[in-house]
Amino acid sequence: MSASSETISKQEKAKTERARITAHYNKFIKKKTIFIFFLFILVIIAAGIAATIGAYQITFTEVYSILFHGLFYNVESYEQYAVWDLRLPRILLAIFAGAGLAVAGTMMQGILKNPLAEPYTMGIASGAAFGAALVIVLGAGIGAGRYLLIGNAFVFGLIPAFVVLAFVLYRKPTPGVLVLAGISMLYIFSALTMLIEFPANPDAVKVATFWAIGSLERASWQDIFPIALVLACCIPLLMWKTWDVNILNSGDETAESIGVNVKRTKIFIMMVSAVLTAGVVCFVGAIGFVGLVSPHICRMIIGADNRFLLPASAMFGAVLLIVADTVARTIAAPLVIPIGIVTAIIGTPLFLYLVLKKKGEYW
Amino acid sequence: MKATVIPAVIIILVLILTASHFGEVGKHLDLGVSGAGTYPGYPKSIVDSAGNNITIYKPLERIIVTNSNAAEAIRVVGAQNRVIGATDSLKWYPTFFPKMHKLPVVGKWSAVEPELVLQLDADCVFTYTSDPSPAYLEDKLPPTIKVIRFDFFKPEATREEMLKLGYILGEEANTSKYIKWHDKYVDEIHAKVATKTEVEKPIVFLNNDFDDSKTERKTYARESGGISILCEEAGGRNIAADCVNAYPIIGMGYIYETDPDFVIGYSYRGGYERDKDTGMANEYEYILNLPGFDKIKAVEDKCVYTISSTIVSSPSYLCGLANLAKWFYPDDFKDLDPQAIHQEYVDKFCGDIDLNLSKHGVFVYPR
Repeated sequence: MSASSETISKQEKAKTERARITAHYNKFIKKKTIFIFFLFILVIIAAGIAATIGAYQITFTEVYSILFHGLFYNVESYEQYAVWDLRLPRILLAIFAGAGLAVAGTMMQGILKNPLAEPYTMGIASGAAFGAALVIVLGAGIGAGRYLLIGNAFVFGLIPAFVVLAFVLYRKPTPGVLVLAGISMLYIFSALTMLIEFPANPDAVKVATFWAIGSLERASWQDIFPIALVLACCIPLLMWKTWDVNILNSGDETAESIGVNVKRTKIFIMMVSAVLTAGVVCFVGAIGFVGLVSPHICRMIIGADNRFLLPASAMFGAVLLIVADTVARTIAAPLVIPIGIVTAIIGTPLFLYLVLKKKGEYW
Repeated sequence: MKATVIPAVIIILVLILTASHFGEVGKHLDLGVSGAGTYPGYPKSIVDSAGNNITIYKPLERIIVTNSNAAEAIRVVGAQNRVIGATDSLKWYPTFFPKMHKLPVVGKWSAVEPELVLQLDADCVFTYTSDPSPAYLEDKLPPTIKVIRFDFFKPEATREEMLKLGYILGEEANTSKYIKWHDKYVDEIHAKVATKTEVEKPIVFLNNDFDDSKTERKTYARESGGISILCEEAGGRNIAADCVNAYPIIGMGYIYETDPDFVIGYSYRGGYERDKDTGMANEYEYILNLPGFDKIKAVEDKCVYTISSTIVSSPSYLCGLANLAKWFYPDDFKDLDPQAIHQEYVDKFCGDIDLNLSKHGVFVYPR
């Protein structure tokens, strides 16, 4: 009798403990979910405000009246054109590019276990710049019409990434070696770009250089659909692998013992991240800092669980790029400051504040 | 995991649907590009220097210029009162553009803010062939606002560009006055230079920069246009004319070896806004003091000059041409007075500015 009551008591104790842990876990999850929801609201607010700011003097209420009118009628005036054709594509491009780069950065940092890893670690930006320079300087490339340059940048952006992937396939390199391989790709493609630009027409060189510097200036509705498609294909695939990346953080051997195919997972994630990065870079050039810092900032706030870190980084990257772009085009209007400068100026103080505030090591 | 995947997918799909739904928005802008028939003599069509076919259906009354060359050219053909906006480039020239430098600013020469172009309700934007890139203009502006690309700084193209400009702006009479004046001097110079054999032509080194480099010099090949073309038109043999790169860097050894008869420094420190020649004089001294230059013929014979870009790369380029021709062949061109030609240009083709060039402006050094 006493033994049986002891067993019941133990079971109840275990049940209570389980309930406590579940409650704690739910609270933990809730906190992260709220943070992601908060960032989502922030994206909407930032986009909503950005739409009302621009060189064309249109009042806040007029902008929303124009937005509403444009949902049902064609654009009929320059005010409407400014909002629908100049501001909105730019804002959407900022959201997509910011989210794409931040997601790619999160996954690269996750699998390379390197805090300095970013979307361009595999040399994608320099490959894309070379592809763009080939079209601008020599007029040669893959694709046609408007997509000649974009297509070429995309294809050449992927080449260095696939060379790095070949390392993973045929050797078993450490994350450090992979980063070095990416850096060597960066130098090779930078040198090739300089080689074709050296004897070229200075006007063409100027255009190629301008292309390589990240910018949202080229935003148009035509670009939004393909870039959104790239994100729609890649982000869910990466989300699907977030749990595996969490396990990889415990070490490759542990991951193998749990049943994760480490090599295949790494290759898959690197491949999808490369497509995602190249898909963004070929439209906006190499916008720096977003992909590096967004995952770090979010990691410091909600921890390293990639299931939550990935959407949070995406939202944060989007907000950062919308804010940076709005500042870039308004602070010295009508001159537009390169967005890379603004993302660094806005992001660095926040990043440093969080790093200093964080007591323990977060990485 | 589903809790995060599903919202992410939904958000992305909503954004794609939004994007695809409004993807054609810009094409619906209906602001009436037609008008053919209501304006006599219209539509008018030209091919601009970027190779774009431009057709206009009504007079261009509201013009934006993105650079000082276009502003100067438009003033030459007598349409400066139609210019309603400019980039910040014109702000640097209050003397030369007393009215236009106060116009609303729409960006800088290489990057225009399209929203400001819309706000000014412009009919067209005159801009360089390659800057700002179409990403800033053609791709951003509605088809109702024409983007017309002319350089007006390449001597080899200026005559044709001015003729097209005059036609598209309906200012043929003023343009023909300019062309007549232009041809008178250019034909005279060309005719005399044509009598010279290659051996008679002086060897010229065109100095491109005034930086710290003492072992190599940046110069101008034929491909760069501008000063290198003027040098050849004035009867000079540019030592770097045939280089592959437009702005090649050549070693000092090559300059010593070719031993140029003339060294011409192309300077950005002169112009209408300067009354003291300190900047160009410093550049002149810089050339004289380059290592080994004391031994080259040009320096020994005191045939070193600096010339302002203002009279080389603009519709007034023939003033630069006249200076070069007179330096290269003083005996053949002893009756040619470059400063008088320049004064004539200012008085006849620069609108209402009242500028005595013997007192204001620095264009060559030594004078």
